[in-house]
Amino acid sequence: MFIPFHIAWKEIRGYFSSWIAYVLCAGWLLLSGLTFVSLLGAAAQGAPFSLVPLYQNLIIVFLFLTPLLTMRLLAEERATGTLELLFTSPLTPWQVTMGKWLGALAFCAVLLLLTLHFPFFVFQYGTLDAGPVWGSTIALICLAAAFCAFGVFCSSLCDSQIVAGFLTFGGLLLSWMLAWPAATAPDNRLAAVAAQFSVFAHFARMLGGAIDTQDLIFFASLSFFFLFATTRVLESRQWK
Amino acid sequence: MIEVEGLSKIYGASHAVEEVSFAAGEGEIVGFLGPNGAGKTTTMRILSCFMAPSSGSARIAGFDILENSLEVRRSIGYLPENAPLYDEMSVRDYLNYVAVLRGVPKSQRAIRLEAALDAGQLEHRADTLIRKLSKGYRQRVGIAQAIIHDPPVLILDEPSSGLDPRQRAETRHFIKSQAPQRTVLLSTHILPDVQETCSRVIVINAGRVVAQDAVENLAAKASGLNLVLARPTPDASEKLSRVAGVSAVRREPNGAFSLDLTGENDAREEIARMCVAENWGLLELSRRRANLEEVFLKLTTSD
Ligand SMILES: Nc1ncnc2c1ncn2[C@@H]1O[C@H](COP(=O)(O)OP(=O)(O)OP(=O)(O)O)[C@@H](O)[C@H]1O
Ligand SMILES: [Mg+2]
Repeated sequence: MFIPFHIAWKEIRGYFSSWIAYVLCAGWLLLSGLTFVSLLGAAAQGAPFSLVPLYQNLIIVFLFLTPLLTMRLLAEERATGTLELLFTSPLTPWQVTMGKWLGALAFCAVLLLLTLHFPFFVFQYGTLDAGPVWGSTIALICLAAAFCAFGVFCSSLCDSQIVAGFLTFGGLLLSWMLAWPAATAPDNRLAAVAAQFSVFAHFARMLGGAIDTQDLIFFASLSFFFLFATTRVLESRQWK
Repeated sequence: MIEVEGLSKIYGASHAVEEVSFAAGEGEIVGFLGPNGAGKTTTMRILSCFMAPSSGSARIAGFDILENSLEVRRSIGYLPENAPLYDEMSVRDYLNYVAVLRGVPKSQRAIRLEAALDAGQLEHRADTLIRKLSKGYRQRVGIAQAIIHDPPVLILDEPSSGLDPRQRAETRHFIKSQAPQRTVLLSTHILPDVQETCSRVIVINAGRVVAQDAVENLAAKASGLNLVLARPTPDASEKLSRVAGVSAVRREPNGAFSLDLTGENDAREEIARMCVAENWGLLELSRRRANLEEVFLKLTTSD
C-alpha cells in the first residue's frame, strides 16, 4: 500500500482509540438529527420540503469539528518528538502531509456516511429530489478537504495543539465571514472580491445541486495551496 | 561507513557543533562522548538527516546526507534522545507502523518484527499500550524500532538512559553483538559502558572534537606517575616539570608528587636519576593508569 494511506490509517485508528471519534460522531448525529426533525416539522406545517437547509447547517458543524480533528495531527508529533521518527525515515514531506490530510478527510467522510439515512427516509416516505443531495454531498466533501488542509497547515506551524486548534478555528471563521459584507452591500466591489475568497459563497452555490467547475477548482486549489504550504513548513525544520 | 567532514551547526550566534570531522569504518562501534550541551545530539540529528548542517558534509554508507538523503535514511537506524513513541498504540502495532515507514517489504515484516521484539526483549509486552509502559520499557521499544529495518548503520543517542542495571548489561551485550554486521555510533554518559562496548571513542566538548582514539590509547595518554620523596627541596616541583615527557607536576602533602605525562617518552628513568643526584630520597615511583573517567574530565575541563 501507498505510504500516505498507512499514515492516514494510523490517524483514523488514533481517532477511534480515544474518545474524540465517538464524541464527534454522537454530536454529529444529534445535530443533524435535530435539524432533520425540525425540517420535517416545518414540512408538516405546509412549507415545501427540502434537505438543503440540513446540509447548510452542517457547514457550521464542520467549522467546530475540523479544528478538533486536525489540531493534533502534526503539533503533537512535534511536541512528543515523533517528528524525528517521521523525518529520519525515508519519507518525503508530501507523503507525511498527504497521509495526515487523508486521515482527517476520511474521518469527515465517515461523518457524511452517517447522514445518508436522511435522504433514504425521504426516498422511502416521500419524493426525493436527488440533485441537491448529490450536490450537497460533493460540496461538503470539497469543504471538508479545504478545511482539513487548512487545519493540517495550522497544526504544522506550532507544537501546541491548543494553539493550532484556535488558529484553525479563527481562520475558518474568518473565511466564512468574508461572505457577509457582500450580503449587506451588494454593490460594493471590495465586498464582492472578498466574497470570492469565502468558502461559504462557493459552498452555497454548490448546495443547490449546480456543480460548477469554478467552484471545484476553488476548493481544489485551496486544498492544494495549504498542503503545499505544509510541506514547505515541514521542510524548513531542517534549516532551523 | 560514516564519514564526517567539517560539520558545523549554528544556532543564532552560537555554534552548537563546530568543524566536527571523524570517520567510522564498517563494523566499528564508536562511542561519542561529551558533557551536556557538547553537541552530540545535534551531530546525530544532522547525520540522521533530521536537520541540515550549516556547513560541512557527511557521507553514510557512501551516500551524501544532503544529496541522497532518502538513501541515507534507508541505511540508518536511529534512536533519538527521547524515544519517538505513539502512546496510543500497542508495542506490536507501533513496531509494525515503523516497519512500514522505514520501507520494510510486507513479506519480511513479520520476521523483522520478531527480531525487533527480541532485540528489546519485549515479547511479553508486545500487546501492551505504549502509554502504559515504564520509562525503561519505552527506551527498549525505542531500541527495537531502530533496528526494525535491518540497517547497516545504527545511530543511538543515549540508548541506556533509564534502564535498570540488568537491562543496561543486556543493551551493552546487544550493542556489542551488532559489531560485525553493523556500524554503530552511540552517545552515552555511562563511561564503563563505553569502555566495554566501544572500539573507539570520539570526545567532543563545546562543539569541537577534542580527542578521538581507541579507548586504551586515550587512557594511556592521560596516565601519569606517583612519586614520593623523603626530603624534597622547595624547587623540586620546578625541576621535575623540566624533565622531558612531563607535562604537569602537582605537589601533594607528605612529600608526594603527582606527575602528568605527555605520553611521548618514558620519563621514569630520568626522574629516578634526578632524585638520586639531588639527594631527595626516593621512596616510591609508580605508574598511575588513568581510567576513562579521568581522561574524560581532563579533556572536557577547559582551563
Ligand atoms: N533548537 C535549538 N536552538 C538553539 N540552541 C540549541 C537548540 N538545540 C540545541 N541547542 C544548543 O546546542 C548545543 C548542543 O546541544 P546538544 O543537544 O547537541 O547537546 P548534547 O551533547 O546532546 O548534550 P546532552 O548530553 O545534554 O544530551 C547546546 O548548547 C544547546 O543549547
Ligand atoms: Mg543529547
